[in-house]
Amino acid sequence: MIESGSKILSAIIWFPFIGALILMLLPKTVAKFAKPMALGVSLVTLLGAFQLVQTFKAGTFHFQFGERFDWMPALGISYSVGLDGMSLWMFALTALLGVFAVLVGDSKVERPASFFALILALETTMLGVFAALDLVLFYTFFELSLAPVALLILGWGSQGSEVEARKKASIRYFAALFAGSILMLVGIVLLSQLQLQASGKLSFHLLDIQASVANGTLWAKAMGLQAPIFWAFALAFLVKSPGVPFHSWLTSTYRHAPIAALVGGVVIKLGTYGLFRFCLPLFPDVIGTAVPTLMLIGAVGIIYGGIVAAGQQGANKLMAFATVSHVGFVVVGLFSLTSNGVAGAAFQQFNLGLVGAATFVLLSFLYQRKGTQDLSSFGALKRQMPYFATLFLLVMLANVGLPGTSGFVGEFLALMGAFQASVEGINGLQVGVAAIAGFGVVLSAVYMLYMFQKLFYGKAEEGSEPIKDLTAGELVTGGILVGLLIVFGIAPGRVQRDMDVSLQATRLMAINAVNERPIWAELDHEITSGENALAPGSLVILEDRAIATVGARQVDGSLISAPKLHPTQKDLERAVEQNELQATSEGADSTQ
Amino acid sequence: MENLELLVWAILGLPILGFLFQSFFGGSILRRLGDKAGKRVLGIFAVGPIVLSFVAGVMAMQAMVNTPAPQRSVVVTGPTWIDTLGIKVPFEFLLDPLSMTMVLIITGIGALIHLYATGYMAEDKDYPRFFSYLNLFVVAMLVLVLGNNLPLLFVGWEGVGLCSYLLIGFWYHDLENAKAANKAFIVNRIGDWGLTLGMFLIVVATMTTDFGKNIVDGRLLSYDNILPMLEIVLKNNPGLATAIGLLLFVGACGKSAQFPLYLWLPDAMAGPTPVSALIHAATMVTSGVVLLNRMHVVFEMSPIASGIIVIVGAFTAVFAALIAFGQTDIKKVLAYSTVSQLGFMFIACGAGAYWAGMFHVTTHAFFKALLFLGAGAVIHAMSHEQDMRHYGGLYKYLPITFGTMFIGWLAISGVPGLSGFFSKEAILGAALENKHALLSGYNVSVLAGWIGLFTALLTAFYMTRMTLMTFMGKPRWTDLPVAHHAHHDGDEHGHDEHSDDDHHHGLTGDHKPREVPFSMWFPLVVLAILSAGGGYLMHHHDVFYKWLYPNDLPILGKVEVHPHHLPFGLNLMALSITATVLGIGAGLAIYLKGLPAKEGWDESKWSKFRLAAAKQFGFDGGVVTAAVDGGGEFARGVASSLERGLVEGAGSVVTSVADGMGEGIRKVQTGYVRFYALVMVVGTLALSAYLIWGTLNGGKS
Repeated sequence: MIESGSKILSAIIWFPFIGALILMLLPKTVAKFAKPMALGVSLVTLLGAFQLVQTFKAGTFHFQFGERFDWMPALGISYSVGLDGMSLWMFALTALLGVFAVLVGDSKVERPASFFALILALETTMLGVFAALDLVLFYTFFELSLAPVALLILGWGSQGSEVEARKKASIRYFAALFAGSILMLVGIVLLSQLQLQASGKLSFHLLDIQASVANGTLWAKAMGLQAPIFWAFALAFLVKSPGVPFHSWLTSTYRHAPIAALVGGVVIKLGTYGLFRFCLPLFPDVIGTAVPTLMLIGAVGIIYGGIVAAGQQGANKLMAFATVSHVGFVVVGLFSLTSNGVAGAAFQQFNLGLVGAATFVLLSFLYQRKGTQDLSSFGALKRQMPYFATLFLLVMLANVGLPGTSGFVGEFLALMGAFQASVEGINGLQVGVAAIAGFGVVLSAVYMLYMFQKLFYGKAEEGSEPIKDLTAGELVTGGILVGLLIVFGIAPGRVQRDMDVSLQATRLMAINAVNERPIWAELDHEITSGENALAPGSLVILEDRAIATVGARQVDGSLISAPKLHPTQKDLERAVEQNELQATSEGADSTQ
Repeated sequence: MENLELLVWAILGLPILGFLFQSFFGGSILRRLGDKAGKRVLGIFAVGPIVLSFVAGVMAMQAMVNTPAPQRSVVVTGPTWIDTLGIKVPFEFLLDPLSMTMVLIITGIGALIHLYATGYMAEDKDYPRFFSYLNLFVVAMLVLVLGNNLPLLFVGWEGVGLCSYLLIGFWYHDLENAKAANKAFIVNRIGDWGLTLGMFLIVVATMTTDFGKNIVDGRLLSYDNILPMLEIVLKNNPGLATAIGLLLFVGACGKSAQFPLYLWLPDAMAGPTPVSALIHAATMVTSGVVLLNRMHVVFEMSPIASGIIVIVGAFTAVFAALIAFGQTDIKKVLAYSTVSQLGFMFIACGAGAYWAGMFHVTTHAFFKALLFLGAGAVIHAMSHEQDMRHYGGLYKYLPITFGTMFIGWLAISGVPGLSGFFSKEAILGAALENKHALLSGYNVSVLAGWIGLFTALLTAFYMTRMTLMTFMGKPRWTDLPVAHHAHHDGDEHGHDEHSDDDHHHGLTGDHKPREVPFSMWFPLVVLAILSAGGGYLMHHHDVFYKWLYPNDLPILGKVEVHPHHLPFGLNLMALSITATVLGIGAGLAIYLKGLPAKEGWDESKWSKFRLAAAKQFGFDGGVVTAAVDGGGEFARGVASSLERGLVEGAGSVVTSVADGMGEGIRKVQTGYVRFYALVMVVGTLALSAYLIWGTLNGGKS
């Protein structure tokens, strides 16, 4: 085992946790500073994440900012973290939404220090999930993220409700997700055993395991295990996502408004992220047969979530089912296994974080004013709260997936991918599935417009007091989130370019034959930030949009060197020249 | 051509600036400068950008006319929007005769309607909100027609839908308006669903063939890539052409209000009248026709899709015309008339005469905008009363409005020499002459031609009814009770009430209608001139056809619009003039003296038919009840039964496990922290056990 890498990634992951510890240790007299302190911590974390985004090298699918040292060497467990294009943006999103989770947290809650400490602790666990490269480390973060949410529901769940009700919701949340992922633990252990068989070395490291999958040794003697382990992973992530019919925990969680923003924003993206990170690259021999089922789960989720959302009376419950519907697009795009579908699913996952956070932050403003989420007790808010109405209109449009908002890009590409796969009948898919899934865009208009009308039009409830419009602080908070929805709707290119090569490589891991599957590696960032930015082994895109590995030989014998479709990346061009020189000087050995 | 590039950005950018200005500074300007001066300034900044955009459009047109026909299509590329390895969608705009025509309609008529609206909305407190929406609409509509790829068209497509939604529900205090807005958006979304699938199928069609490899830049949905390719791909695959064509047509049906998706358009009349004129008559609703023109290679390749388009268009035309007879609300008459006229445009496109569809888009934009604005002037003068049964004899009070609407009436009725005559003639001629639209071998466009001729008669008839009920006969509002105090301008209402005062201000018996101000009658005069002369100018020497399709169609060639084979040696022009004369004559015979005061309120001579027409022959009630009420019931049913079953029943394993565990814990009454500790301990133990087992096992092997 090697130790490598700068410690910047770990520093960012653990910084909120250290902040949380300090908050807990502070005397009660300074509790009123809990919120500003927590805000400071989350802002520093965000700055760190922003730094990562700035220094990240696009154009390769390898992991960057990697760190790896032995944790329990006897068991093959290591502390390994690193980011590729896809996890980078989920990581950054988590850091961003951490700030907003603190911002909208009410500083007048009971025990503010604990409240904000839990939010910061949650942030660390989620950052950890997106960065973890060791399966045990991943599982640890994945499960640990349950605790802060469960405790937040229990201690600070919706103010009006009984302790008993909060307790029930808290336990349901914890138990449902814990039960859902326990099988995954078995799967993880089995994978490490197979890895031991294949390579003679016990390891839980994702990169080691994936390499064995890619060269075919991992599953060679255990084909029969592949399907059960796949489903163990898929089940855990589908419960978390949530896919129908595993969604019931979500509605009871969302009823508890104070933390809904955070849960709606990021927590559930851990589920779809898991599908990307593990289900796609590690099970190439069974994924094809699982695709029809998974696509069905996605399509049913879109339609079922949409229909049930339209029948809801509570704003948060409505949004819970809307989330179920939105997540369906991710699943459908992802398991189309087409280039467009996967790209769309990844962007939709990113977008859902933003849009979910924005929606629930705005709803929490409403909840703080009126103490209820029942749509029938609102009305005519447009007159009373014109600024709030404008922000909510934009959030509604992003939920509906209107072009120009970030909601459109992912949905559109995911559906396109699903449609392509089903028209071509890949993996026995039916056209109907994609066409029906597409009808989700009609349903989203139905339930969102219904909610908008209930809140803002018509008449206010008899005898109800007028509601005040947003304060300046709330306007800025909501305005930034809503602004981001527009920014990423008009200019999604940066996120897409960073993510793309990672996504396509992951997709090829799923669909290519043995020895044609890309193999993950860690990119030494100390070197990549210099001249040799694109190391041999990196992924490039050829003119016919096939993907190949730098340094490998093409059919006609020429060396693959030039990424033709990334003209915007100056680094890349320089690196390619470098590569050509290197390739000619090293001759045939350059494939290494 | 660099010149053109700049002009494109000006055409698009100016309305964007206008929109931003109204949104961010409108409110504060109104507060700072006071109501009157503030509205004047805002009005200038609302109309100005559209006028300048129109000027830029005219300059671009000039430059285009001066270039030889084959080089008239210019693509201006901006930054990339959607950017993945699989597909790239840049912000790119296409200037060609089709988009140029639409740009001039949108900005030209748009500028007139913006000017009109400064007068019409002068009393509304939400003045800046109105103009920001209206400017945004112009932006979206321009993106729709100028975009050089289908996703960008879709941006505009959904954008105009959004603006339509916002403007229909502009007076949101009335819940009915909000519901009409919802209906418009949702019905349009059904169409958008079809359009989206159509786009996807185009991607599949081009990418699965060897030709797809020729698209090296990843712009899978840009016109300059896909249109030539579709021409090759679909030639050998008419089934695919039919599938793509029908999916695109579903989208066109939604936006252009064709049966059965027309349902939203009559309700959309809840919006302010300038909105009805601009969005729901002159521009947005013609998007479907623009789409069919843009994608004409697909439809040229599919006689079946064309046949279905012709049938749907013809049925919509005659169905909506019949419903128009049942309307007493002046705007509803015009709304159904619009649906009917859109049907004509689709007949043309289905028959292969895409240019004739565009021709009618243009002339219809002139006379329908005129009629709507005229109706708005009447409504404005009549204390926001829209019921024609309370009008009558208005020609004396509103001479300019009457004079201009008179021309609009004759133009839509097809009186020879006026604009409607020429475009309708081209459509009917194309339908009767061509053999492109085939359903199981039967040439349906001939049938559509005869239906269209009959509809032309109906059109002349109901438009005569509308005009005479409004302007002729004796004033009928004098029969209404005299109010205690008339409140015309709403000042007595207090500020908050201002904005929901469009209708039912309360027309009273002692009302004195006054002619509208200059800002409102000037656009009427300009549109009347265009309605009178515009058709002839475009028809003359086939100017319009040669402008739009200088090289004829790639498959169908030059589409003939002068029928030579009518039975009994009939002559189309004679037939259609006869239809017009009969229609106007019938209308005159019944309504010349306006409604007779006593027997008249429900036009009892034919009240049975009229009442049935008013209810859309049962169609709207049926579908909407089924979709909205039934749909709502269904959703609530699913929410309460199935969902509860999933949560509380044994339907979900996870929930049962979760609740079971929760129940177990509660019984033990341990308190939360201890429970959590327990779970963690159990979890850790389990993990350790597995790991140890694993290590031991690993050691063995």
